Amino acid sequence: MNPQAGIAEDGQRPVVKSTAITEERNHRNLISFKVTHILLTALFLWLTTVHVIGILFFAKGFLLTRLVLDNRSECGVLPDGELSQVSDGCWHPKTFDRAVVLIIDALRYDFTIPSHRGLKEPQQKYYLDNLPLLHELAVSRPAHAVLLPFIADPPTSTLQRLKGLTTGTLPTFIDIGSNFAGTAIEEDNIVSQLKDAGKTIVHLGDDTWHSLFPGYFDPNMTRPYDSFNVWDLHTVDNGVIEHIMPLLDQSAAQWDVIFGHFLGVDHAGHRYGPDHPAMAEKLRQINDVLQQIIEKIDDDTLLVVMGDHGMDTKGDHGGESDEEVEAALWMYSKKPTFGRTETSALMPPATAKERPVGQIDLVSTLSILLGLPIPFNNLGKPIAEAFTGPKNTDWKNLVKVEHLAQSQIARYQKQYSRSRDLGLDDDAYSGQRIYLARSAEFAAEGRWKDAHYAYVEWHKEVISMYRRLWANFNMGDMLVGITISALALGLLLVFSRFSTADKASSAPSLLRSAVIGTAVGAAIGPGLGLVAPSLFSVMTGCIVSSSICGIMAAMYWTIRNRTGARSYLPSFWGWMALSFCLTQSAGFASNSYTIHEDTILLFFLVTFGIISLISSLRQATTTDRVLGTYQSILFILLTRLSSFSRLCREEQMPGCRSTFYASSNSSTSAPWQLLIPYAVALFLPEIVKAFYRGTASYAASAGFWIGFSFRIGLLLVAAYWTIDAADNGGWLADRISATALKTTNLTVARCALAIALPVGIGTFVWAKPCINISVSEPRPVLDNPGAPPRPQLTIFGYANVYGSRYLLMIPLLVLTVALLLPPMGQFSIAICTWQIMCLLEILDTNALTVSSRYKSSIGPIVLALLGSYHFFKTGHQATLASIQWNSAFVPLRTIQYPWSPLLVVFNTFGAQIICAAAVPLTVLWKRPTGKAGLRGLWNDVSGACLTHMLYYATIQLATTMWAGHLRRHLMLYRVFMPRYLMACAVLLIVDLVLVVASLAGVRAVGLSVGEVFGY
Amino acid sequence: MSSSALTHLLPATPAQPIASARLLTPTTHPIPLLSSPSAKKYSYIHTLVVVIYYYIRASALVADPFPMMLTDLVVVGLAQAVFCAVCLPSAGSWVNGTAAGKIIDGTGAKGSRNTATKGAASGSGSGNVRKKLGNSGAGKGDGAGGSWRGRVMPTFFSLILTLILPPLPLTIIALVLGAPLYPTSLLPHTLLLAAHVSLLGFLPIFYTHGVSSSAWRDVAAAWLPFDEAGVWAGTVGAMVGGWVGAVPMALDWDREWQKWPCTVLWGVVLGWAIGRVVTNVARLGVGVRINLSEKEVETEPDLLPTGPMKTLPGTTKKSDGSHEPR
Repeated sequence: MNPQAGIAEDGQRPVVKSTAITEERNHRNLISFKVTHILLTALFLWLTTVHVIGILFFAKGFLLTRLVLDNRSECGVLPDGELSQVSDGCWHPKTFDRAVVLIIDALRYDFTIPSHRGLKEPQQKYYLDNLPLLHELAVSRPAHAVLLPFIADPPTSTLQRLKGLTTGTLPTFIDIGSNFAGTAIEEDNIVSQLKDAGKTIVHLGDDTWHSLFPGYFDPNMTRPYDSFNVWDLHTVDNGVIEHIMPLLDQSAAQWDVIFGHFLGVDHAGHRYGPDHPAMAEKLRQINDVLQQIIEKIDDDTLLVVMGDHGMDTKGDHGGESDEEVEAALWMYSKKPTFGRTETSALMPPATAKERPVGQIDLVSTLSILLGLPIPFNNLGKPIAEAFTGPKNTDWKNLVKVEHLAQSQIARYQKQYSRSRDLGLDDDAYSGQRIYLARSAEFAAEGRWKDAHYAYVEWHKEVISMYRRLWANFNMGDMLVGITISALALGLLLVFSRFSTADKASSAPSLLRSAVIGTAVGAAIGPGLGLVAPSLFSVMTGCIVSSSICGIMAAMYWTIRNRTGARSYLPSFWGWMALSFCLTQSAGFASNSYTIHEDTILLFFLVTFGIISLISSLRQATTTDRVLGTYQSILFILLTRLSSFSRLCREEQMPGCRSTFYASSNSSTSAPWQLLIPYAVALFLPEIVKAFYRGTASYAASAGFWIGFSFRIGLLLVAAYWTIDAADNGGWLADRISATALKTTNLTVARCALAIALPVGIGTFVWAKPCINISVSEPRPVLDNPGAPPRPQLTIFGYANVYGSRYLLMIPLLVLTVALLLPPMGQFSIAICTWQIMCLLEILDTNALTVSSRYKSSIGPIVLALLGSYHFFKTGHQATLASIQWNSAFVPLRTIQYPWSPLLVVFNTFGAQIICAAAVPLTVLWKRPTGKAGLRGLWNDVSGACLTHMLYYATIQLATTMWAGHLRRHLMLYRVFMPRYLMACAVLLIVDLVLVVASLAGVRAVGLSVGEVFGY
Repeated sequence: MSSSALTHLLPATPAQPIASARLLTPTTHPIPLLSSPSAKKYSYIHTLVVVIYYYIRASALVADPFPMMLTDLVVVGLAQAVFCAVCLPSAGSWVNGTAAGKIIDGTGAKGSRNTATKGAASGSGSGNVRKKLGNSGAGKGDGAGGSWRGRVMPTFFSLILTLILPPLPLTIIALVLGAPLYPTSLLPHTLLLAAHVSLLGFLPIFYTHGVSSSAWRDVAAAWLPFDEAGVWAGTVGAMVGGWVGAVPMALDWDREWQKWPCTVLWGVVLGWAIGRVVTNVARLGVGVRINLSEKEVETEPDLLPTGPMKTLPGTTKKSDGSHEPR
């Protein structure tokens, strides 16, 4: 095809010569164009709603829940029902009057261990050897201090951990969503027990505590601090230090328990990663503070220092990798208290794999040490070191304490199984019974040591039973969710790929069928609640039946109204797209293919590139052949080039080298990476420009928007990340204060956003088509000498009127996403943009664009692959820990709803968003303009968009089904569940982007082009 | 692409060329199997022998890929060379394609063989003797009955070309598909893999098509017709097999054989064998070319796909028929 066809009209353009009739027809077409847009939007929103319903139903059955019991332990009544005879304490004589509990957020166990012990070869790392105090004291004064690995139960988010640390319960997955908006703990816990015992509780630091325990703390001494400003390493810590020292100095202490929660280490990890000078500084600061505190506390005060979770190699947490769950626990008292059960255990464990204690064990330990009853729901066992006495191992005391905990757990078990049928047969308890009987027998004989070990075994059994139990899924809800998702997928497939009806003109009848079906479903829905009350309530029955009936009705309509196609067999490209989708979906059944998804996507994309290269070589016209070959090779090379940007997940190790940040122990960029944003600012606008120049479309708004605004925006992005690096590296620390830098940075970021959004959207909506019209001098007409000479009109950019106009949208999205991504991510997103344009040229030269004659699926599907691929290349993985929370603070100082979550979404799913927004280009790129006007445009666009949606819906259904099928798999929480959550999120986001950006964008383009060339 | 576009009075909607008109026309003919009874038998045996050989060498390959692949190169190269010499017509001894407007009358059977021998090495674009379609039967017969000397030289030259030309592009293809760049010690493995693919998939093409540029344009566009000799199916099978062979590597089974490039090599061999069995033994799809055009919407019956990729029926019949008489 002629790459830059201009059109010349002698004399006048068709629009001008139009009579009143064409004028009127034009108007009618305009109205119908707008109405179709609204109808299609409604259709897409309905599909989105169905997706949401399917996802929610599955999640309801899949994300685990635990029954919360309201019962409370009482001080005077022992767990076995007898009255307590202890005078100095509740169930057991207390050891301490007061306690200072300090939580160093994300204090990983190896931070506290000298590097020569934990590692085979000594290493110089900023996170090592900077908090020596804990280990030193535990070694030199073992009766006063004990240091142990402290294993968190995933999910390792702070709120979940605080629940576990104060109630002694195992977490269930459903709670993880509440991390951003914590809710009060209802069940029995140590804080409420302290309050009931009339103790004065002081809290300092992380304000998450206040959402969990509102009104529990002494209002005069308590000082909460905002916990989500990840950029701020010092405010919380300095606040805690400032207020804790006077409390410790009080001659007559007015407090009983202090909870101090330091966030600096966690924030240093999130912001820089563990291997950064800021981490060393933070740990040394903590070391000094602890040194001061142990000098100040008195004999009757227990000091507990612990991490609530660890951090992965980049400093993030939330998942269940070893680094994330291995925290440290250190207990200290001025009077000799602590013992060791074995002589080999005199030294603190060298690694967290030896002699670990669970985080749920803290509650029972603290309760007994402080003379409180053990909270009712607790499942932890007392930590042996705290009860064996400083000199000779006091096995008897230990077993007594353990017996208390055991009978408390037994009471809880009884109550829980009474409240909810556990569905376990007797065999499940046999192991427990044996150990329990043995323990009692040994205790009766006075063989305390053996009794202790039997007790430990019993506890192990109990915990593993509850872990299994609370992995109990509601199959009914899961199946309903899968059914809805599968039906929606089927409808999507039939309507987008097999229906030969015009999608635009059939939208009203399709919608009508869907609405009727939904209404009928809603009417019969409540009946489901009556028929199967165990599965549905009236409400859920109504929702389920209306969505299923809606889909069925729409499906029926689609199938009935397609004109029989001769063959449903796809073309080669169709087979390829299908096999990409299906093999990837099948691959999600294996953890390996889920873990190595980025490599698989690379494989598929390059395969597409090679096939398109082969196909390009078959083109008859030289321009098509050369252009197609060139763009295919470029596409392949760019795909491979961006594969060098990698952020490895733990499961990919070894054999994977992270290049996304400065090192694998860091979450800041290397200085050389700062060149990337500048290179992007320099080259990306030029590259986009080149694609415009190919059809002489670099005209009208394109020049201002791409050549100027886009470039300035990218330069601002580069400036932002430079200042950010200067701030992180302390390059200007002696000249400019950190606050001044932060303020400058906020301003720069907001300017970039201002260019991207208000300016960008304004340009996109109101721009004229990217064409240039020149009028040349009249020339005599050669073949008809009699005719008068007429002026000649040339329209530059005519060959790609729609495409060049729509492409104006991409820079604004690229700019927004680039601002939120670290430099390496910008590298990837720039390549993504370039690849999108290569892809469009490939599609055009190989007759693969979606048009009235070719309904190719390959373009939208490759865009989906491209988006998924660059999701990984922008430093993300399908794990919770890889979410770049920092991006919420790029243009904001504090968390602000809804902007902060939105920014994180743009950072995380930026590539998919850009690719989804680019889907209409597979229709519009070099789409011929002519008398047909906008006819058929909506049909092609909706076909392309639905095909794009089809890919994500397939992946969503596949990951959902696999996660449900593999719900007992060892890797469920590490691999399958995060991928399933991600697939659901991506599907919904893409659904919305297709509505908000793609359909709306096509409307804007259609109106703008139609204004010039007729609707 | 200058910026001046002064097309006069374009039709409002430029007529899009129909699918077939968008594409070049492939010119190559299916490669015939030589008509001697031994050729047919040997081509079956050859497939079996190569597969068995790789199977026997499998454990050695896993133990130490590099030296094994290097020595195997010699064995497989020899086997393939013998296969070519026994079963296939060498370049120039048969009508390998319709070169548009460049058909030169054959100068006689003997002469054509001599030229062909050189042609295989020096490029057959113009030097090669082409015959009209009608003459192909005779031309081929000569190739079949030719002396061994007449087959040794083409085999030798095509071996050299096979080892020099395709491995580099094939290595690049493997690398862009994700073959390891790090550690660099694995790069020679990739190169050897490419050499194996080249021997299995491209040696017979060099032998039968020489360096005819139009034939190689068709090869690059994956446009050769599948042939009864199983050459092109072997090539396609080897590429697809290698593609599929990469799949098990990602699994976390921690098996020794998952290392680069064992599974890919086996995939190549298996795919090659399957392709050969399908076309050479089962005779399925002979004459068909791979169709890469998008399906057209059927509502416009006047624009039905005219099937440029579908076999050119006349050609297929000819090559089929030509070996029947003997």
